[in-house]
Amino acid sequence: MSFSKKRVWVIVLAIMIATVALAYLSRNGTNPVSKAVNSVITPVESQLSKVIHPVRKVFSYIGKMEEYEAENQRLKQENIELNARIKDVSTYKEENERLRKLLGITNEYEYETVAARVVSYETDNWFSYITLDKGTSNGIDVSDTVITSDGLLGQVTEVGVNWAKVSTVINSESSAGVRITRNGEIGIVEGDTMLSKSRKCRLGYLTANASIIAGDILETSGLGGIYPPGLPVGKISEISKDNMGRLDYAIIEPFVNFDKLYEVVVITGWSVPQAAEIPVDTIQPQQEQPEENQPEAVNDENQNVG
Amino acid sequence: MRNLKITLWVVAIALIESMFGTYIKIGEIMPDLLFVFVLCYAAEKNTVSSTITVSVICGALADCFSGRIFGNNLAIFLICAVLMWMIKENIFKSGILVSLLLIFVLSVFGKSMYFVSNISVLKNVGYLYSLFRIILPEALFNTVISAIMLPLLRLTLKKRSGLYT
Repeated sequence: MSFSKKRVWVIVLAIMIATVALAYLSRNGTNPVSKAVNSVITPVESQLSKVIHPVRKVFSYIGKMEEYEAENQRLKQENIELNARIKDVSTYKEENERLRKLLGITNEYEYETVAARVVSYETDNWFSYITLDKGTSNGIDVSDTVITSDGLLGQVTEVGVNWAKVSTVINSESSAGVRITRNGEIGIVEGDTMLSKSRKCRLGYLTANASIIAGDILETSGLGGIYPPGLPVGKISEISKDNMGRLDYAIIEPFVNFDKLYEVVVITGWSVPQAAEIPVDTIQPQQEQPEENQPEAVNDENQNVG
Repeated sequence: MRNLKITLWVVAIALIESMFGTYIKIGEIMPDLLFVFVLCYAAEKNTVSSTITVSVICGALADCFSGRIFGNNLAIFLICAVLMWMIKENIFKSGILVSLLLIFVLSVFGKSMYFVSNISVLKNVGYLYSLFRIILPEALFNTVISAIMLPLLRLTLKKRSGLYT
């Protein structure tokens, strides 16, 4: 190997050591290089996205005209059914408010929010992150919850002055504490690399004697204090059983359409309400629960349970 | 002028990748445009210093966009670019087909490195699944993109004398 080639590898090694050092120094926060680059790039992307989003919407609409027509018919039918249910719901709402007052939980669902625009999407085939055009100057902070009109989108993992990175619920690094609306069972929705390709995630860690069926609706439980409670997450699309016929895991189809993300809402300043403390004994991995219909526990020390 | 052209290439590719990446997917797989650019640049027998500079900048950009640990892409881009430069400099000195084949092989190598470096957070996925469902399709996609990018890059960065220094 000639001197120049040796020098090449020395330079490569030096750069890699410097990179590792930089990554290590900024392990607890956003990297300074990342902050600087995103602060410059995001406004450009934001301006471009203002032009590009309407064009995308038009093409998306033309491409799915038939689908929208069918959806319109279905929604009309649903509207008729929902109108019939309004009377029942208003009765429950009154009762709910009355009971809440009784329990002293008054502000649980009153969040401060910031509207933001999605300016860029994931850039690799492994992880699902998006970038928003708002940051600390708008009150957004790391760990803030991000939602769309459909439901939970994810959590802010990095933030700069005018940008924020969001790890979506289908990301393999994400997990969220959820409750099944039908029966109140709690569990954990986790991202899964294989399922994320089809924009899905998996449900595990259900409580003892949990019963789930395809079509069950999930909402955030608030347990763990990362996500506020009551945010729609998705529905169970498939239940997988192991060779013994026991519940292995359930596949969740999130309500959020990850291919049509334009505007989102960031919930800022939410803190754990006193009523949402984790009853630790209610969340147990499956290995420790030999009963039937228990999901397999997927243990990962890196996960955050919201 | 040449540096300006390279900068424009990098900025354009970075913006296309971050804003349209999800729209150029085929079968849920999207190409890594910045990685392809780095390999194409290295394959074009540029100087080693410029190859290192371009790979570091593109790797850093990829890390900034990824939302993950800084340095992961940078290291992979750098190693693959230097390997490409050395192979092109010492073994296979010319030929676009050789470049495309090397881009495919280095894509598989680079993305395998990415898988290994992220194995702790990639849940429920093994190497074989990743190889056949993500790494190989992406490498193939990268090669197709590079078949378009290589001649364009050659055209835009060509000096009047027709030689690179």
